[in-house]
Amino acid sequence: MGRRGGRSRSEAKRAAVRRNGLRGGRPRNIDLFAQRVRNLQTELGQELPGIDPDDLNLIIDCLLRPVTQRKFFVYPLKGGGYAF
Amino acid sequence: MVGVVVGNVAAILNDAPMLTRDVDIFVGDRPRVRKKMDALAKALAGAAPQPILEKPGARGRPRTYDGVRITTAVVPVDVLFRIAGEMSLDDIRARAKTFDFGGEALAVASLEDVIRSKEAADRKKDRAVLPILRDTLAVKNKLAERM
Repeated sequence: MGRRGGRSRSEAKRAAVRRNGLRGGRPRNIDLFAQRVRNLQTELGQELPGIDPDDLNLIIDCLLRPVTQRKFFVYPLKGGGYAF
Repeated sequence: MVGVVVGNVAAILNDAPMLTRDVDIFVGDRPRVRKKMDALAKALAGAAPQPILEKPGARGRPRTYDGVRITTAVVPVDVLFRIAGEMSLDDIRARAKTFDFGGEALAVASLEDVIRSKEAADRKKDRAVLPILRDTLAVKNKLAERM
């Protein structure tokens, strides 16, 4: 069932597209994930000032990422370098 | 044979941001278990088990080997009969977390035990990862406090 006038999106969604400039008006999942990491990093960074900010970012990334998306092993490649 | 995943894979499963080149499984030291290594290598389609000596015995004397390495097509699998820190399999298993691994329950050593074992092993490669492991534990403890 379409909207009156042939609009495929609600006014709220159209406004969101204008606001954040993203297609469909919704941030990609990876953007939401990165935002969650940054928010938690900001909160914890104040409580754990002894931890290097880059390390803290990586730790939080691992904490929030599902186990199935984690990398475990590093593989040497024949032509040099490594793959994960 | 009921083992517990230890070492860097356990650290990664406990949220530490790192990578590794092998899998360490602690199975305890029983003659019955040692006899099963050939069968395990066969089940993993790996090469014949090779003895590895992680650390001399508690009194500084080398003892019988501490584990075996089974080289597989994917990664080397180290099956350890003893680990540094003089922790028993029961101790480690009591504090382990269980993960679902393709429908099978996989026991994974706690981050505290991984740190304890690396502190006791005290090799260059253990000392290199201790800071990030301790930081990860601090973050997890801080988050647990907020719950």
